[in-house]
Amino acid sequence: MLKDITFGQYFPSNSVVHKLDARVKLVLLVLQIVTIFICKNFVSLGIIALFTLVVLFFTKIPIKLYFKSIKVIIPIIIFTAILNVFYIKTGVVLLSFWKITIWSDGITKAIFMAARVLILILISSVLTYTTTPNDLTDGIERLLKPLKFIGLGQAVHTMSMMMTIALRFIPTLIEETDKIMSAQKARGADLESGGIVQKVKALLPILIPLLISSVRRAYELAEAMECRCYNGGKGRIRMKRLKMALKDYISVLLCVVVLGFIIVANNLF
Amino acid sequence: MSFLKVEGLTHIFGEGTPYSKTAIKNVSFSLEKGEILGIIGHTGSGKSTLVSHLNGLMKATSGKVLIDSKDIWENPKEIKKVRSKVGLVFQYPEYQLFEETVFKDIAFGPKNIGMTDEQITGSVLNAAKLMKIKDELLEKSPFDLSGGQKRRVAIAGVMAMEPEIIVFDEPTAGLDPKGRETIFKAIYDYRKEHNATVVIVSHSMEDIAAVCDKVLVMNGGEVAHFGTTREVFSNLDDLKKMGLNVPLITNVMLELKAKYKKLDANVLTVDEAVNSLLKLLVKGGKENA
Repeated sequence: MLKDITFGQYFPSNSVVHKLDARVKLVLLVLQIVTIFICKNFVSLGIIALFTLVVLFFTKIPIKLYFKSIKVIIPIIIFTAILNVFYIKTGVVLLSFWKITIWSDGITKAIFMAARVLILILISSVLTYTTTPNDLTDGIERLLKPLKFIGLGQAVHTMSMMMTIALRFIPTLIEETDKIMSAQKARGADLESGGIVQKVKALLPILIPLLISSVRRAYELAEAMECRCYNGGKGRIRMKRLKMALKDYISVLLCVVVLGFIIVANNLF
Repeated sequence: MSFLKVEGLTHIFGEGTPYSKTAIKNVSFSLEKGEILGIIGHTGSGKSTLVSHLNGLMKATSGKVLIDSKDIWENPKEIKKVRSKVGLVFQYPEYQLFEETVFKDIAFGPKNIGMTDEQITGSVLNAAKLMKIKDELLEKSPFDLSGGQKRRVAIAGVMAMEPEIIVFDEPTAGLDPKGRETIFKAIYDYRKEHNATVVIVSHSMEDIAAVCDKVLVMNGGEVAHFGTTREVFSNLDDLKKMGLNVPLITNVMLELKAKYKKLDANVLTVDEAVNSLLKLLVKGGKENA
């Protein structure tokens, strides 16, 4: 049952979006978020929504998966929408009963905000769906490289190495947990029944061995890395180098063009 | 009627998906009380999957496990009772230790199956004695012990539950010869004391030949051979095809037999080989005289 847990949401495919440079994708995501937030009216929001849909189409990822990522966030969207409906008191009164009055601006604002959050979630999930966690950490490391000029180069490398190792060990730990659970079940441990206190107590025979083996693994890994002369990021080169290609430049250009359209639309309508 | 009976056990992982994989297929065998069965087969042949079915940690896609003619899944709610009847010692069991003291760790299983305090103390001390765990170790933290000691504590933890059937998955992997001897001796003693049925999964043909009454050979998830140890180890060519072997001493004797036709090469241990060679020499000596 633990095997069903997947970390990260990477969905393998061979689309153009998958092949884009991770750095470019990260920067473009930030740019897109900015773009979404400077939208002032429904026309500009429409443009960015359309653009987002086109991007989704290009990822070649089943639309069902995107619905799944939206599902989690729906309660928050509904909550903010309701707040907007009740708190904005401009425009025309649409409905009034008991102590509650609903204004037309409240409705439009609620829809606008909801749409904005939806687009935001969709475009962010494009990044996590199309980029492996390892590429992502690589991209982050490269983007933060300029920090070395203020003496943080080593810190950036250490952080990204830690992230990479953490991601690498998730499947290993899941397997280990499975094994320990089976072993304790074979010794008659009851993991399912009982109240919450009992259930937490029943977890101890699993968590303690897991913690101990993680520490042991960490020592072993550190030793293995030292044996291979690892001494931090200094003088380290990469086997896979991130390289900007034509498609990367084109996608940057496209996003900038969309940003331009939005600014124009903001001012025209 | 056999005590432990496995009938047509099949397990398919991810049935109905494109990734479905048959781990074990139509496995059947039966054992009497007090018998020791060795399971051999190369990595990925389904040995570990098979033993996980014996105490209901896994549920078969089809087929049955019968203990005392009773299907272990007859009443799924009672599966915990089955686990107290069938002890399972996993590979590298030392990684399951967690309690503050060795005593408490060995007592974890017995406590879970509802033994009284008095029974627990008795069975823990007995299991510790079988596994040669000294009294002064019982109050120590299990994490202060050496690797071999930890392994013995973990095995004692299963023995203390006093199961009627006890299954060991690679019990001696990574141990020195003395550690192996201690564990096999303890397995023998446990069987004698409780008239228990024992199943041992191992990669060491020598160990299997030395302790087992019967051997089950797994190949690609299916039973390739099942019979007495002597019967199974007489199939040298077939075993080699599966990436397995016969005990080293049996191999040596077979090579010798190629030269000395009269030699009885059907041996499993060094002692038997010595006897067989002596017989030939004495006979040969007589003929020459």
